[in-house]
Amino acid sequence: MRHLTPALVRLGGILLGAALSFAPAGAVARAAETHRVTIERFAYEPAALWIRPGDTVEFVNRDLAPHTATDGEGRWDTGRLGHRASARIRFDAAGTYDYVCTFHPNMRARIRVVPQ
Amino acid sequence: MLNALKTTVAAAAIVVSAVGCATAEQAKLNDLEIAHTAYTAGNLDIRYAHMALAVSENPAVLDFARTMIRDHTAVNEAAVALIGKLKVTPQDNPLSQALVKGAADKRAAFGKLAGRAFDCAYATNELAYHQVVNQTVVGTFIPQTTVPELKHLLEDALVTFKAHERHAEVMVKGLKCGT
Repeated sequence: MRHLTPALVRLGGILLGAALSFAPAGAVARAAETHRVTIERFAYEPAALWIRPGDTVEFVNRDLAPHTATDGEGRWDTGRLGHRASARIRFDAAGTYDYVCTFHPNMRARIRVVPQ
Repeated sequence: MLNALKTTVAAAAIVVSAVGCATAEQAKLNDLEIAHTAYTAGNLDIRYAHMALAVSENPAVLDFARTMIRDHTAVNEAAVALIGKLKVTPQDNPLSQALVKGAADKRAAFGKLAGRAFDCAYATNELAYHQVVNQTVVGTFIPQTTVPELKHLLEDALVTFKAHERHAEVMVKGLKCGT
């Protein structure tokens, strides 16, 4: 069986390091997506959404009553969305974002931003 | 153009009694009268809410009242937009008049109350009001409306009114008015 020489180990380390260093470049190449959350019948649909960093979520209100999509920790807020109004929020940081309608606090949903 | 189809609204008696009016005969409503009554019911709830904002100091009651003003205003704005699009004028009718009279009597009674007594009176009335209005919209207004746009508006509005009914249930439970 052939043993790896210290030189090969070093070369392997360099190649492995190079490969790893290029991995994030591959992630950057992925096109950001836009997802839609529909607000209808006093509920967010989907109630749970998984997206990638850099993606955008479009909130569309189909109810007659105005609604908001407001982050529970105050990091983002669509503001008031009247009938058929929409707003877009871009999510750059990974994490879990629980949000509510400030007008109707029983309306709750979650967005999870997961790294690739 | 709205049709003038006459409909029997047996539920009118229930609606009227829920808002405190003493008399209610069976009413025959056409589309224009249904539109008028639905709009009137929303406006009356807004007036109750303004009274609650002026009198109550309970956060749950204040929050509910603000929601009623915001949501019923939005629904009525949609109704006004539809009326403008259809180029028609809603017709006042005995049921609308009875609703207005009943609500005036209720507000007069509420005006003599303060604190917890007011909160409980307002909350329980809101629950009863939405229960009966929703039953009427489901059982009478929607099935008997002949104009598709008006029917669709009533269906959309019902979603909001049902959410209000659930909200009112939570408010009444939270106030523990029966204890």
